[in-house]
Amino acid sequence: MTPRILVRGAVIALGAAGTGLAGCARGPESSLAPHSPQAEVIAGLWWTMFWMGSATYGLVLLALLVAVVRSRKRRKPGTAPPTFLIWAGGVVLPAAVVGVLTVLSFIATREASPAGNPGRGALQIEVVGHKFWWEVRYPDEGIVTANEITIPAGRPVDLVMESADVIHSMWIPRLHGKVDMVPGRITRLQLQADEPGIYPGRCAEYCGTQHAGMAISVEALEPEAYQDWVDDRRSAVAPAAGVAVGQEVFMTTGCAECHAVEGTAARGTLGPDLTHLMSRRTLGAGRVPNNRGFLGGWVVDPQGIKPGNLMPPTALESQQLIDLLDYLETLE
Amino acid sequence: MAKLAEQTGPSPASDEGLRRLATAWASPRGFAGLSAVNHKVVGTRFIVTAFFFFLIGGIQALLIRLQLFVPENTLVGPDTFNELFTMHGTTMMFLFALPMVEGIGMYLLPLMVGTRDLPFPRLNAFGYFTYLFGGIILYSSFITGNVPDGGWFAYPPLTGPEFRPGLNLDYWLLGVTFVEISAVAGAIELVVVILKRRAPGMSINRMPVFAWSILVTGLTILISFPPLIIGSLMLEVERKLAFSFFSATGGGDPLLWQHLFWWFGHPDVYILFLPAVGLAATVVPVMARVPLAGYSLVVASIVGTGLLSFGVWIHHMFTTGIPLLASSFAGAASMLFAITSGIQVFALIATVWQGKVRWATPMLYMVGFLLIFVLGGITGIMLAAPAFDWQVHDTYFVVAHFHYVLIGGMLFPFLGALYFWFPKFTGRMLDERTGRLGFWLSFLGFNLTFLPQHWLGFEGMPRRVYTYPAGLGWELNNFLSSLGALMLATSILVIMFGIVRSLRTGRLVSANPWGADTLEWGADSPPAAYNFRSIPVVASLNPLWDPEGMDPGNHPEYQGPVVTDPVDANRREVVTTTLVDARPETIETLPGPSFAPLVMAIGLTLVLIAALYDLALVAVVGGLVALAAGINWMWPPPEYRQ
Amino acid sequence: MTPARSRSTRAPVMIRPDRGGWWAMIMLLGFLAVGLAALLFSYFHLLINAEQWPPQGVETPRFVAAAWGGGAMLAATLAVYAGVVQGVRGRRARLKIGLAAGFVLGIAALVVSLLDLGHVPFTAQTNVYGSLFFALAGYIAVLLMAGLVMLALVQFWVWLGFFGPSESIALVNVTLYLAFVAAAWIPVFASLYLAPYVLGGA
Repeated sequence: MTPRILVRGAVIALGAAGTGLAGCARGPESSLAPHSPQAEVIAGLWWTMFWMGSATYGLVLLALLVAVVRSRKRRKPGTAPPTFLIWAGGVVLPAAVVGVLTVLSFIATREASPAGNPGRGALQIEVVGHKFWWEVRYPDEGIVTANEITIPAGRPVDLVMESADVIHSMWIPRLHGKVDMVPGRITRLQLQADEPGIYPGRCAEYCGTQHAGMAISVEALEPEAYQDWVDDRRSAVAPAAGVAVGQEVFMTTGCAECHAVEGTAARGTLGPDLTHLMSRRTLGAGRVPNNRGFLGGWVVDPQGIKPGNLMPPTALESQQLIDLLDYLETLE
Repeated sequence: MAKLAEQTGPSPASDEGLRRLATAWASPRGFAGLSAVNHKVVGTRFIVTAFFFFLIGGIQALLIRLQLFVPENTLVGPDTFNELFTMHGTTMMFLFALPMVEGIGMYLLPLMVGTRDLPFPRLNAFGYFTYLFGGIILYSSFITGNVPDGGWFAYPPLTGPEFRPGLNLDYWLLGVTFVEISAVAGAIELVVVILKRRAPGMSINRMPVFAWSILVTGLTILISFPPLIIGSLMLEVERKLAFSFFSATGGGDPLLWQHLFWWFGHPDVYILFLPAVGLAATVVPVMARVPLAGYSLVVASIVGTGLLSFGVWIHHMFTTGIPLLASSFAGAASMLFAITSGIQVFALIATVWQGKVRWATPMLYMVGFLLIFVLGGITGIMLAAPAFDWQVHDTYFVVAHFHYVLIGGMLFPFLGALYFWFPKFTGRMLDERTGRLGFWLSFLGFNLTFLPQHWLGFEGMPRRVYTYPAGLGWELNNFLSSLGALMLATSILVIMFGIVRSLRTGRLVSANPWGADTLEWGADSPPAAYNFRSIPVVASLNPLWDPEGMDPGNHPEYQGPVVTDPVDANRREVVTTTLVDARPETIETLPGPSFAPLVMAIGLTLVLIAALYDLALVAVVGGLVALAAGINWMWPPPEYRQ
Repeated sequence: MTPARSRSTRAPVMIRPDRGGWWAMIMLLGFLAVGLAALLFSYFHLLINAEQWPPQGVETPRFVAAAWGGGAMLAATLAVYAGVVQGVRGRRARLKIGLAAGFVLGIAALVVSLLDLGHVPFTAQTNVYGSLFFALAGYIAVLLMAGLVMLALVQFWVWLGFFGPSESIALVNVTLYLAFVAAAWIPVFASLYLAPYVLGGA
């Protein structure tokens, strides 16, 4: 056998690394497609580390390759082992690399942390992690919603986070790294979207059966559009017209025990607040699109759509379901 | 070199002496084999059982990858998936990797340091049974329908009484704790054999580097396992007896568990990695036909790794909202591993540089180890930057990273070691053709499985998700990764085929087929129950290579005579030497075969089952059985009577 | 000098205490000490996180009885130590007296400690303080019980005539173990009974 092993191994490793990193278009949840100052800093740190790491790996490979080539020739026995190689490659090289990296890491970590961005007029939003959805509250605006956070673009936002049950973790890759939501503790995450858009993310800490089905998205709006959104949510909910039957179904078949709808007697807190249900893009924390068909399916068989979520199925006559959906569709 | 190997014993014992040795050290056969205590018997049991659990954990990994082959796959449901990744991690860490490390250490170390057995043979046998029974209890959860599903890290409150009623986590906590008893017992054995049973003359500067790595590993086990055992017991009483430690509702703190777990968990990675370094640093010099370059540096780096490993556990908790200062310190400390690992890697490179390499399968695996481990080490250094960790923590990037470290840094050296020591274990060479094929399949399969996972992490795929939607750019890399897993599994089949075939038809070998330097190659292949005809006297770091390496006359510190023949066929005698210089100090008699360790393990298993199912009577019976076995075990030999 | 070649080499063989066994006990005690450290770490971690220590509504336990228990434990260790020192010199009667006295004192320490645990004004289920209190005190109590079992067995074997001056490793080890338990009691006592006065308070 020959150095071919090394060449082959190196080609495989670096070739795959190159195509993987360079070739791929960035997806909607890619931390390498930053849309915020913080995510930008972290992605920058990564690319610096990537090049430093590649250079280091290259040097190690080179040393190994030379060693293997040399070792094909027989030499006189008793030549002293090349201790300088160990010192150079094993001490000086890594010490230099991590010396630089420690400083870079410290700077980047500080810049990306709240310490580096003292919140100037930051908007406060409270997020509570639940199995397996997100409760979102705007304390100053008096808005309660779920699974979607609407923020003004270009303005810092402080997420003040806690958990109602187990540990979850808030992660919007294009905006920032993740921060855990730990029961009994308050944690904070500072977000700031550079431009309007929808930034999806998901729970990053294993939280039980439907950990995989616990998605969230942040929608950043132009400041004026954001203000419209807030006003819209704050305006009194018009009493539903012509859907009294459906509302009755909602109140009597168990929905109201877990869900709240502002302006009605429904005050449940175990499930998401449904006051603005139809303004959400998805159902089941990102599981399916929000439309009448999926909504009906969700009401009747939530376990079929998202097995293990905490909502029990609701047994309804078909007319009852139609009435209920009619009612729910008015909750915008 | 082969010639020197013949002279292992400075004076071959007489025929009569050999007969007595064989009688004194013989292990019982058949059913009575359960009472055997010999380190090679017990070590082999550990290795075979650990390999069996490796296959089970591998099948679980394969199921995980098959489920993630395509988006929205329905091969297994969410609950099954969560059980699979929990048991995969648990099996690989607690039932495969560590018992494998200890099994190899138990088999090799007494041979390598030139003694006849481990210092506490019965404790050794006991450790095996607690390991086996703990593993069986854990896996019996599949039969009783209580498969643990809290992840191998078992973070409360998800694993606490409120959110995980049922016995699932009790199986995990008690089963794993039971297995850890064996790990701790093994650690004590291995540390003491290295400290006190080295052959006369094997002063610490002549200790094989594998012995150094196991010494540090053993001490690390003793300092890192208590927090997990204590934490597990705390969580268990929280579950069973309504104590509160980890649940916020009772005033506890979920992060306390994470501290205790990673106080164990981070050193645990080095507990698996350091022995692999020791193996590589033993195999590579033999394959390169030169002594290890930079022996003292490597030893220093191994000791440094052990010490450092306790200072960095915070880096598993960067996203929990801990203070930035703590993160920065832990991150900076974690980066120091670049230097300790750098020394180990470059010592191997320098050894190759110096030598003339023989490219047999063991060497292929060691080079594979370097190629893969260095990459895993580099991503590890990246993860020590807190800001970067915030992004990739709990994503597939981390999954890729630690598989590079653990498969590259542990499994590959172990497979290399298997090919290297197989002739010593069995007296037959392992098949080279399947060996090479297995290496290339595993090397390519491994990289195909785990390299794409780095990109998955960047593209936002979290760990521990049972499925994923299409359209996020995760399809291709998941597909490739699953394909690679199939390839990796194929390589294991090829390797197993080679082993099975070689056991029957492999080329028969002499004592030292590789022309190696350490003492175990001076014993027969496979070694006799008593290992050496006479206890060797060592005057060199590479005793079988240096012409004077085995000659007591060249041993300046050597002062007193050493017994070579046993006086009494009923006594298992070993030489105890001093800690640093390995001067002979005393002759000790080791206990022989006994059923007491087995009975004691059975008694304790009863207690464990009783704890699971709240059976007071069974607990009492089990406790009494264990106590009785303990008394029988410890009963002093008659010659200790005045 | 060709020492290893000689056959009749029993003469200089030093049948001394098994040094391997001594090291094993040191390892075991190190292991147990780290276990104690993990418990103390938990205690102080939760203490630092708490607003008040002990938490609201919990009365700090009084330490007089616990101190008596700890004192008995120290005395037991000293008695065993004194006996073993005599025992390794071959004075069997003194060895027996020392071990017996140590055993009685040890039982007394255990009884006092258990009685004390029965009288603290909270239970393990009250809150995190109670849980930690019983975990730490329980750790020491379990170690002490194991030590008493060892002491009883060693004593039994001494009465049967085992463990003469040349095979005294069991005696040495049991002494080491008891000394460890007594030493481990000190930080536990300081944390459970004294720390609330120093650190807790409003």
